[in-house]
Amino acid sequence: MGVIAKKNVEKMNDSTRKVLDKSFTALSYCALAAMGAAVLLFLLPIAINGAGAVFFNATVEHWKFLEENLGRELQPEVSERIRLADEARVPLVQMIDEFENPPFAAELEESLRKSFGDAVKGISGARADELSKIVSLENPERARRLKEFSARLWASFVDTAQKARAKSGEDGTSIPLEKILHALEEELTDRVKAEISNFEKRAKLKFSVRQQVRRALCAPASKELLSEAEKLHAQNAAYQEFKSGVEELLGPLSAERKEELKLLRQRYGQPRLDLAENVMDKSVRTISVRERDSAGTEILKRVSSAEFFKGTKVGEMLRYIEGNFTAMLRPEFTAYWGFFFDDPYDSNIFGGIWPMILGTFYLTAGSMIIAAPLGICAAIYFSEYAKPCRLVSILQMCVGTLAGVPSIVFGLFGLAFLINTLKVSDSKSVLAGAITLALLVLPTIIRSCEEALKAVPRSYREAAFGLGAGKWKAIRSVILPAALPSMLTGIIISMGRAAGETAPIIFTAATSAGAALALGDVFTQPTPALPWNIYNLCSEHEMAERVAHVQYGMVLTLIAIVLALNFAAILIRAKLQRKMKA
Amino acid sequence: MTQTETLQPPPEPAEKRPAATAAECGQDEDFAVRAENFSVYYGSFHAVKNVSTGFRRGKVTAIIGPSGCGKSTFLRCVNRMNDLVEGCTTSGLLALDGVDIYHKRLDVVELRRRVGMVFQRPNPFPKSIYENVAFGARLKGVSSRSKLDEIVESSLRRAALWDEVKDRLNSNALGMSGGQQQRMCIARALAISPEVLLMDEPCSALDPKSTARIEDLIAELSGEYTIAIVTHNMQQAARVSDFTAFFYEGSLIEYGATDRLFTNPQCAATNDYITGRFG
Ligand SMILES: Nc1ncnc2c1ncn2[C@@H]1O[C@H](COP(=O)(O)OP(=O)(O)OP(=O)(O)O)[C@@H](O)[C@H]1O
Ligand SMILES: [Mg+2]
Repeated sequence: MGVIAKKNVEKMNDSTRKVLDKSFTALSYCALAAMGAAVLLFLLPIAINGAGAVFFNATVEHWKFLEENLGRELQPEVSERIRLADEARVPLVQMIDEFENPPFAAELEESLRKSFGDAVKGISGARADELSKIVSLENPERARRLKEFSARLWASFVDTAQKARAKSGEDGTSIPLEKILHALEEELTDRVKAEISNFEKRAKLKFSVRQQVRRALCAPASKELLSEAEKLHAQNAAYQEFKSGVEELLGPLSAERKEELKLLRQRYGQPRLDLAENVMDKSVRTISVRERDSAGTEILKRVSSAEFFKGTKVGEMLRYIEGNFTAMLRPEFTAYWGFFFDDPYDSNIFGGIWPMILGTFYLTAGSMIIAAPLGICAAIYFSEYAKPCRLVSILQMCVGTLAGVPSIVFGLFGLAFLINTLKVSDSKSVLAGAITLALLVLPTIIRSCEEALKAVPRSYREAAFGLGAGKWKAIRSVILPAALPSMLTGIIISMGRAAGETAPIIFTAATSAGAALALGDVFTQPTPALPWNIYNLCSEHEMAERVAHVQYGMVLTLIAIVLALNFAAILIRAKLQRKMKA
Repeated sequence: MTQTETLQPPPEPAEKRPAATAAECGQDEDFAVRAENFSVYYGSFHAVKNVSTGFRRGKVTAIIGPSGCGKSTFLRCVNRMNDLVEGCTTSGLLALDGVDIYHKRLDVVELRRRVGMVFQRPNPFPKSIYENVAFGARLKGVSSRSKLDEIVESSLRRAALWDEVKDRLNSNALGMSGGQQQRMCIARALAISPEVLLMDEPCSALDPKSTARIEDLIAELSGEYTIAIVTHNMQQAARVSDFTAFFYEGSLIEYGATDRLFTNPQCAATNDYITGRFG
């Protein structure tokens, strides 16, 4: 009985153990899967968006930029694409030109000017006698009669102007008319002044009377001209808005216009299809127009261009753009490797991120050149030479505390101590940043190297000392080589940390814009660097949306650098350990 | 203290050691290493208590005793390996050729070159066999390749390892078997041509064949080197040593010529131990 019971118990134990084993295995798989999913969830969007900085549908504007600013040789088929796109834009350019300078504009202007001239001339000409009589009247009567006179004087011109406005409104070609009306309004005072002077040659006027006459004669025409111009203005502003949207999309439409513009972002259209589509939606298909609400305050309202310009020539332009969007931009999928090797242009809107990559490299390498030897020396001192005493324990505590100090404090320290007090450089410089980063990672390096040294088996030490090695000799030829893999791992992981830190370099080394730094300038000049520029692009860029892809590209690059460093750490460790094992 | 109770009679204090033992010690000049009232403490723990003994020049001295009785501690003092242990202090005299080993101005590095040591567990460096054996010679400043080759070959030959490894001198020492590693450690110690060779249970991790080779080696080396060997193997002590020291709970109980000590122990405790009644 007892034996059977015991067997059962053993059997049960056995099966329980198996179940436990299996469930632990399952649990660890679950944990791994969860971790992998988390990493994917975090990395995948970055990877996809970041890859978009290199692989995208490039429009002809992208190629134009590369050719004209970076002197790239274009493939024949790319040049052909540019030519076709330009060809497709010709009708649009024509439409715009025709719209802004309609053939009948000159005629319109002439008739307006003629009727304007006729009216003004009346002051010293045909109607001079009548005016003389009015002028000689006493005041309240004079003012009333002057008003009447002025209305009659301008009646035919006002009529012409209103008719002109109505006609131009029908065609939607209000731009020349608005210009003419404004020009005439400006001329008005001068012309009236001149005619009154002529008129005075007959009858001498008192100063105050002359003023009154001038004011009275200008007022109705001026008011009419301005009100007519204003009626046109809303329409014109909407057109200008639409046109700037088109220029944002396609770039300036004429060579002269291109000459006028200085900023690269104005000199070229959208280099990427996604951005182009965005601009198409936000600035071409819709526009904002000023409107007065019921309380009379002016508000900006977004309206659909198609509706707003319905039936006008602008509406035709919009239709043409919709129909020829692809033809005018010719997007084609490209791998723009220059993203990593080109300088950025116009606040990262064009070009690549080479200076940031180089800056990150300088800062990381510099901080390691400083921190690694110091850290290794300190670790050797702590683990091999230091006898336990108060000074050493205080030092150890300092190292521990330093490891916990927030990185922004290191940044401020770098500014206050390295730059302002020690004056390692006049202002921000790679050197100051590298020293700050070195201080930041030093505690970690010391700790990891110390652990690595402590982990060297005691037998190695005994063997070395037993053979008559001095302390330094034993450290150099036995202990250090044995600790090297772990030490390197620690150092390389610290390197990844230094590469990714933002706060310490804000005040000591980073600048948002700048060309790639020559090696000789690292002691005096600041540099762009990936972590800082990522922050800068998303927080301080005036067109953050337009450079979102650059930002993602930078994030991906930074992550790739850090991961590559960590991977290198693993590889080096594995390789050195294999070498040691046999 | 059950062990103490089984002892008949209880171990005498060091000063009252049997006169025969003192007589056997002979003249000072015969001793390469000599301890006089030597004590070792680990902090406040008295690990080796007032030991007076020595290793005769050119002879093999075996140190036997139950586990934890201070054999290793005593042996490691001879080349001051215990300096590496924190809180380890000594008192009394321990002399190498009449010079105090624990003298303040003694050059420890020089001492360790004169007193080589082989440890219980083989501890090759993670380097090639060649580099391991040449390590001590390089430290002494030998840099010419031919000289080093010579030293490496002769040391490996004396450790009876040359034939097995001559074709793979440049492969990692950790790739050898335990017995080969231990013989390489002996070769490494021999390469600095020490005067005294300390061996702390050199065969405890080895198979009988390797053990036999090492015992042969010891026999071969005796005469030229002063050898001290700690062992738990009575037969081995009897086979290889000329003199034997029996330690018990930190004290030296008996010292004498191996033949005499194993056939006619003076102390009951020694007798109990070598006949296997305890320990
Ligand atoms: N580093 C140390 N710190 C403190 N006590 C120690 C240390 N090394 C050894 N001891 C103690 O000293 C005593 C003697 O140790 P030792 O290693 O010399 O014994 P042993 O005779 O060599 O034993 P074994 O035959 O098991 O190797 C033991 O009680 C041990 O616990
Ligand atoms: Mg021991």
